Amino acid sequence: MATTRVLVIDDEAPIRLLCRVNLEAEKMEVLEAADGPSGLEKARSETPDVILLDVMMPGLDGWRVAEELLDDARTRSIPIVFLTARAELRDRARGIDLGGVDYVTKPFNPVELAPLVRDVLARVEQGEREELRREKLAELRAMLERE
Amino acid sequence: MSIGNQSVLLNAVPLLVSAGVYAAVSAALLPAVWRDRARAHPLELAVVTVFPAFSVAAAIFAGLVLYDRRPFGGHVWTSFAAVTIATVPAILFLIRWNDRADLVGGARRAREAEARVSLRDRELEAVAALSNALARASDAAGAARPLVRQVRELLGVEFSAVVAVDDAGAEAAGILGDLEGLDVDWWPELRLDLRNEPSGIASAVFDAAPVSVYDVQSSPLVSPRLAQRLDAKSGVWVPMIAEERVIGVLVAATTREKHAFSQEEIALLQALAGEGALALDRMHSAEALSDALAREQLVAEIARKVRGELDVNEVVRVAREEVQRALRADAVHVVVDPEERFATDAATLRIERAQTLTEGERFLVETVGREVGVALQTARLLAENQRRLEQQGALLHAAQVVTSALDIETVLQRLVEEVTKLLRADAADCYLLDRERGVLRCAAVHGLDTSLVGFEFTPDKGVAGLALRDERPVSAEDYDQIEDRVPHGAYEGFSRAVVAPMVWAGETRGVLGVGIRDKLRSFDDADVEALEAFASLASLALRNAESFEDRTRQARVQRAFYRIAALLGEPLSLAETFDATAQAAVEALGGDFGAVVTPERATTAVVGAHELPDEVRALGVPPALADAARDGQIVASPNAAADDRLDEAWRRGPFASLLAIPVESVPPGIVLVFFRDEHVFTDDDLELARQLARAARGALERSRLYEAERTARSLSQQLARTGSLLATELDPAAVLEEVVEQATALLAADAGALASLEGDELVVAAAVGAGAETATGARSPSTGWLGGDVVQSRAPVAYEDASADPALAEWDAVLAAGRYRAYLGVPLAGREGALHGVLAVYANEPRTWREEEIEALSALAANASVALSNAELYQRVAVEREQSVAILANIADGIVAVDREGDVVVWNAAAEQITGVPSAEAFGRTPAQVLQRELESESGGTNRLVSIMRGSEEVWLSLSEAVMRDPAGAIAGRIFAFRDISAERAVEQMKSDFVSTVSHELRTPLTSIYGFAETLLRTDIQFGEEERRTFLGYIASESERLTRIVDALLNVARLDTGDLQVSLEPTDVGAVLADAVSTVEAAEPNGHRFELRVEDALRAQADPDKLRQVLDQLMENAVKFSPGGGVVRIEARRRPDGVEISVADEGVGIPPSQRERIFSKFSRGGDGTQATGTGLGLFIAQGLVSAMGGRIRVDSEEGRGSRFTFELPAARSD
Repeated sequence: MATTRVLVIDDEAPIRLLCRVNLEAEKMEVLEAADGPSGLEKARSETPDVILLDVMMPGLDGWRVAEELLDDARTRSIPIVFLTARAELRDRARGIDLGGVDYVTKPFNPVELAPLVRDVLARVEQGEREELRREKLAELRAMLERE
Repeated sequence: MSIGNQSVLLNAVPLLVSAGVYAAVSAALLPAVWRDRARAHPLELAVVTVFPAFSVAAAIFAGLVLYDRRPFGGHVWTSFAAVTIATVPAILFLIRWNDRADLVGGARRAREAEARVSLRDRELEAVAALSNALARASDAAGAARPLVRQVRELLGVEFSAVVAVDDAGAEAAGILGDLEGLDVDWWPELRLDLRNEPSGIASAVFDAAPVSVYDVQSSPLVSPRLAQRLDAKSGVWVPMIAEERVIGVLVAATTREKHAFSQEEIALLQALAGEGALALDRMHSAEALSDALAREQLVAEIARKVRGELDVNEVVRVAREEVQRALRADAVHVVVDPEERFATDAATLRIERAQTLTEGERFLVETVGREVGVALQTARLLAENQRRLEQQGALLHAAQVVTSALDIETVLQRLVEEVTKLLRADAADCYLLDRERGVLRCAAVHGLDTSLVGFEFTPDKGVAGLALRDERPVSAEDYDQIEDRVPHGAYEGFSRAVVAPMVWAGETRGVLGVGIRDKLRSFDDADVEALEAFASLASLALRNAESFEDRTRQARVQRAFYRIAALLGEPLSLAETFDATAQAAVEALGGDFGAVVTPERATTAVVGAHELPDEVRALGVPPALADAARDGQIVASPNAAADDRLDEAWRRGPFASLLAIPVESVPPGIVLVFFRDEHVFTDDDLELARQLARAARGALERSRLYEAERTARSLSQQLARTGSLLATELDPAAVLEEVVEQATALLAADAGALASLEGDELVVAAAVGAGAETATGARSPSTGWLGGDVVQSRAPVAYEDASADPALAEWDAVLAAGRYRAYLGVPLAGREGALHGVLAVYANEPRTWREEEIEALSALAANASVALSNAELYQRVAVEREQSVAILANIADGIVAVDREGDVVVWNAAAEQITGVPSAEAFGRTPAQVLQRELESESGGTNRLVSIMRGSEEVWLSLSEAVMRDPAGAIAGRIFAFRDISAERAVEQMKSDFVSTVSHELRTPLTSIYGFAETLLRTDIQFGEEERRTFLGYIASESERLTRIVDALLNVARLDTGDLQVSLEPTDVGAVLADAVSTVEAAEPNGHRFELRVEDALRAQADPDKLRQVLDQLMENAVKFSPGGGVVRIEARRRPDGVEISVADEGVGIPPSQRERIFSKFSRGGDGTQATGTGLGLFIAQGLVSAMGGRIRVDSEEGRGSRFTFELPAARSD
């Protein structure tokens, strides 16, 4: 089985490093991009298996990057997991709504990143991408209702 | 034999023989040589002298031999042979003895032959050259010139000339004479009479052969005048013959010496003359042709001019002038044969000229003569035609006059005018024959005193008498000599007159005459014919006029009946029918004016009239006429003035006769026909009158029916109109006025009033007509009469004449105020069956209120009550509406209402203010059109959040919507109420942004700290020392970052609560700035340059930590908002009351709209792309500066950068 390739798009260098160290520890290959435009470029040229995408970035923010990725035939199929510091539920919902398959709320335990990536990839490979998104949305809705 | 003997025998003897032979030859040649010695050539002489010379030489040698007895030259035989050989030529000569002469003449003859050949060649050349020259010549002189030159050159003569001979051979004319190369100027003028004057030319012509004269001066053959003039010596004349006719003569003559012309020379001249003749003949033909052409053109030109003239005199003048010019004649006469006026050969031209006319010119004259004849004929025919046309035109005109006008006087007047004009007479008159009285009466004159009209004389006088007696036109040549003239002074001075009887269908009607005063003029047959024609026309006109009068009368009667018949078929009103009946009667009976009266109604006697004078209209109908009418009797009064059936006023009326025809209509009427002049009534007239009466009755009855129907229709139409008028009136007071006006107009009444029921009183609320003002507001008890009756009976009340009971006026203010007599009142219903009041109309005169009129007024009252209710209702609604509008205008919320179609009908002041759209712009459009945004929603609901654009500004509305439904449940409109919550929303948004930002700002370092800590805790991975350090370094720096953020938040909290503590102390500004800049420079990766400029020893009263915090914030911003790098300038300078510090960048700048907000909490700058940070930095900076007793401000230009400046108090001197 080929190595899983993960593209991390985040403007914060420590967070990119955090992801790299922990994903590489799980035998995954990690690609990095420090802003939206270079992240798009990398996604198109390298076609990673999964993308970890920060939302709040100067310049092109995560929402816009996700939109462009999903708009582009070359990158449309790559599952996107949002890394968001935006605690509000509606922000998380927005990411899934846009087409993301999952989200990770900052701060997060980096040790859990690799299992999450693996899980997401497994679901997507089984053709359950949309189902996954629906689950996440339902989850969020439930949380919203609880609030 | 001895040598001696041998010498003698063989040398001397042969020498002697030889000498003898040569001597014999010499002797034989001598005579011929002698004869030709003059012409002999020297060489010939040399040859001839050879023979004697040789003879002598031989004899000498023989003597020597004989003497010496020695052989000649020492050799016997050699010498013998030499001598023998030398003798041979002489012997040969002697053998050809007969040809001896040739020896001398041969050379000469050869020369002569050569000379002859040469001459022939030159002749040939000359002829050829001449042919060429002649071929090029274009006229006779041109042809003659090379000829004479050749002659002179070839023959060596001094003079040569050519003459032309005419066709008849009678005259010769000089063409060209050449005397020693110069033209003889008189030669072309030369004319020779060949028949009567002897001359060389004549001889050559008549002999048709060359004539040569050696001595000209003495020869009788030669013309002495020519010979002398030329001083000729010898001459030769050679005829020039072409086509067997002598056409000219070639002359050659010497003037210096006499010369005998040889045969060769003459032959040469003949050859030349032959060539010349051909050329001359050609010229002659060409000239003849050219002459003929020119003549033809001339003739054509003259003919064109002559034909172009249409006047006889002009034709003659033009012909004369043109021919005179063409022929250079002294005079030209055109003679016209008067007997042959219309023949084309009537004209002859006679030419006066010294020279006789050539054949061509004669031809021209004849042709022109013929042309003149044709032109004269044309001109005359045209003139004749013109005159006939004029006559016919005049007759036609006269005929038109006769047929177009039917008034006999007009016709006759026009006829005399026309006939005067046509016959160019001075005067014309027309007399009509009155057989009964036996006189001719003047009916029309022209050119005579008009007082003549009416003059009479017995028809046996004057030319008229003759014309009447003979029954044909009579022309009097000597008018003033006539014995029995018409006895009137107007006819003095006339010299000629023509009179024609006016006869039509065998009956003489009068006479028509014309006259002229000028004795030189007279009338011709055509004039008489024209007059006769006019006279016929005049009698025709008379006849027409008479028959027209008859027909007019018939037509008048017919017209009258047609009129009445037409009335029966036409829906005319009664008044119109009465008028038409009067007109028909007047026309049928030939009266002057007429009337239709109804004697029953004393006040309005005349109901119809035609041309009726007002004075007659005012007269009352005499009782006798009324009685007669009732009995159906026609009253005819031929002499009204003396008719005692008529009263005094009628007897003095402006009429002489009258006819009164009763019409048995309902009510009965009388048709009156008046005659200004006395009129005798025939039985026909009376019968006609009866017919008329019957016809009129039908028309009147029909019209009455129609009138009733029309009134009903008119009432209903008017009611309908009134209803619609009232329906549109919404002011109750105005409705009352309108109702009263309409009611009055509807029944053609004189006044109207509406009294409202108030309690038990009737109050006049509105009134029109006389006394209306007085009556308005008047009150009367509802229990009284008139109006009271109406109230009580709730039914119409009508009085034909209310004045009959004086008490009634007390109950009705209008009746009293206007002194009205007729009254009609109807109840006016109010709302819900209540009685509103009474509607009444009044008339000045007693009046029978017809049923349909009462119904109409009741209907109007019903309409009026509906209109009143409407108006009152409307009034109430209007008031309510006013209230609503006032409320809407003063409410703070924007209120917008739309109708069923979604168009805006309410747009209050607050809506204007919130949306920025004036109501005028919004009305009639949908909110979506006005605001570019739909306001309504499917669910409706309250407090929806909707954004609209107010100009470029986004405005957030809290919108509530209510749906209005009509009674049927359909949506009848919507009402939107909204508040502008943009400000609240902005604060909310900022708060929300702050929460996410702070969340982000806090969570990001936390992520690192937590993440690296967890990572380090992993036991499954062995990290190297360096990695561990990096992780721990991140944990440390991110912890610091977290601390800073927390500090900032704490600062904000303190600023909000006013708890911020500063410890002010004298602070070295330069040091703080330098430290801050060096720190930021070290951390700056984006290539910004920092320029620090600080005045020396700047000390401010400040908290160094807080100052540093402010500087850090400003520099961080400067870097953040100049993403392209550039210079960041930090400057500090002294100010009068402190220290001023500024931080300037070259970045994106701050748009004006944001400048006010940048120092407020949660405000984040940039366009979003730089939007990181809490939005608290400048808020804190401002708070810190304020806490230190300073102020901060910003200057910025969008796209060029920003400059933040703050001031701090100067350090207190310590």
